[in-house]
Amino acid sequence: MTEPLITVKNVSRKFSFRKGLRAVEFYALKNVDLEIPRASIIGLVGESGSGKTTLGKITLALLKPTNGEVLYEGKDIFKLTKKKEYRRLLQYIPQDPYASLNPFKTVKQLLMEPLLYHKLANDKREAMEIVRELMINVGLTPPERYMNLYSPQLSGGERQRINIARALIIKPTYIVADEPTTMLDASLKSGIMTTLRDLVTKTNISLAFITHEMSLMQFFGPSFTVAVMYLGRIMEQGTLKDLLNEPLHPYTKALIHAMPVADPKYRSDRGILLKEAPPPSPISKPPGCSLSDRCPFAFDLCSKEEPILKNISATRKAACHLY
Amino acid sequence: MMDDALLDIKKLQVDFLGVPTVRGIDLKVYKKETLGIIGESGSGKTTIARAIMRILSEDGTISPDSSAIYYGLGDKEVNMFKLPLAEYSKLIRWKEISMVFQSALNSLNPTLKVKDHFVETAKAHGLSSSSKIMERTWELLEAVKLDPDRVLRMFTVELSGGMKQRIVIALSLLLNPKIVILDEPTTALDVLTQRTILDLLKKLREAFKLTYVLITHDIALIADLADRVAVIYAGKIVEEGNVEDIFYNPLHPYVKLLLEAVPKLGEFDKLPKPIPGVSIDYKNLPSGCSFHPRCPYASDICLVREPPLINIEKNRRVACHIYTSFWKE
Repeated sequence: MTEPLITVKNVSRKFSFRKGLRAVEFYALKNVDLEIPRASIIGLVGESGSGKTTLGKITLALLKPTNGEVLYEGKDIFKLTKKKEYRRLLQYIPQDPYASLNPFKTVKQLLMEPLLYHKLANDKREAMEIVRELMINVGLTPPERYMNLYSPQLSGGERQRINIARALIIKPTYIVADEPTTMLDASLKSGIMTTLRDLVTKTNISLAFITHEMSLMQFFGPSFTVAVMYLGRIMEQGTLKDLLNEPLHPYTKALIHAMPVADPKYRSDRGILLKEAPPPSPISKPPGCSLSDRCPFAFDLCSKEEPILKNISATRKAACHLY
Repeated sequence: MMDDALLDIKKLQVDFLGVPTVRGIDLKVYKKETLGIIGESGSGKTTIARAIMRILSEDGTISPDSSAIYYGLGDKEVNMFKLPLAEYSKLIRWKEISMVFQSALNSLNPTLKVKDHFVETAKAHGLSSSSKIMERTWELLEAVKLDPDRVLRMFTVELSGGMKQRIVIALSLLLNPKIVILDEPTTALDVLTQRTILDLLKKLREAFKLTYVLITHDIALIADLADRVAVIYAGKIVEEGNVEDIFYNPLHPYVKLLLEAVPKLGEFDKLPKPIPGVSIDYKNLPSGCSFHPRCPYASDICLVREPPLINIEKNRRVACHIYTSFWKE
């Protein structure tokens, strides 16, 4: 078997905050295992507080795990000596296009700087050529129209295209995109998603796509892997098609059931397939399975023992005592 | 049912610093319906709502030709745009028409307790009896499925996103309005919370016999909640009709493309397609039909003449030359 590009091994991450004189500690991520193969797309789905962003940041070495390790081609990323090289190989597309670009720099500067810093172009002219080509690829055409604009002169969609270009320009092998379309309209969303999909498949990059909108991931097709997260754990993992057609875990079922569908036929008072409970918070998890207080199928074992992520089939994993 | 109009907006035009961004909207809101207004950001949908509520920012002016007749006050018909502002806020605002604002999560005052939000709102609109205010507040909080005893004493920063949204919805119902304008009521919420808020809105609509004007760019939300839909592009209605007609038989090219741009859950054979072209710039609106630079069917007439909004069938209007007689010439 070929070695995965990124291996997350039993990773936990603890955060703490002060409440009065006491320090309160909680796990944003608990014992997570994940493999990201080369040239693949993986979706991380979950509600806020599920740890999906924390997991993304840990794989980028932006956060250190409290326990466990992250391997890049088999080597621990937190023990690498060539930090600069690793930084080039891993890139990030942020959520908020309005806050993530330096307003005092032109598009040209924003895109040329990383190239020159990583010495991927011999001179400015060559850098300019690379920038121009990439701008066309991400849909900023004609490039000349945008080159000398500052980011506040651009719309949200255009800014997000710059962010994508910035991530891609230094030829990374792995990109984390953290809800890159939440701030955008439906029509722009589909433009950005299509661009991202085409670039990723064309360039053999691995992409971790973080979102809470499962329908958005359909842009990538039916057969890539999706991990459903809840309170710092992966609850279920499988291909998008399997998850949508036949969700196993009660949480995945509830999530898919609750999703709005762009078709009036499916309108109904659908309700939630989970029991009413205070909203999930990583600070006050129930004992045992973290869903045990909301799960309608919970039995004795669920509040005593936390289920581990088991293989159900070759492409399917679930963490639930029912299986 | 028709001509049971509660609100009749005619020729609504709103200018911002001289640039028209809502460019002549005719729209009726019928009793106990949910009218969905959908459009991309900058299409003018929120401006319509703010004009109805008369809370436009100082840069925005409603042009003098515009009218909005409100029929909810018994036999009296009032043009809400012609009322003096003081009169408007006494008669209409919050009592007849209220609004759940976009980013409701930030629209609560963090220094006030939940109780004070209700008391202040009620007092600002002329209710003075504390016992009556508390009675109504209690009833509403129970209706939005919050525990009044606990929540009333809390500061809003102690509440989760879903709870805040419930508070804001309860606040909008405080003075028993007939119309509630919902501006993106679920955007900042998680999927499961979104679903509970949606179900709640449906229950409240029944229980309080409400008329909703739902403003959103989320097509799935419209599919779930609206009875009728008006699609806005560049400050004009491009198509209007019943929700089934719009979804299953869209007429206007923009509406067709918009529906094709949205992924349908579980459907993999047809990949969603982005709408080509760039979004609206009001200072340089294209000549003729403002959608023509992005429209795959645009012909010569579209470049010169702006299509009128015409009745195609009963309850169905569309503004596109394909459906006018000019097309064949």
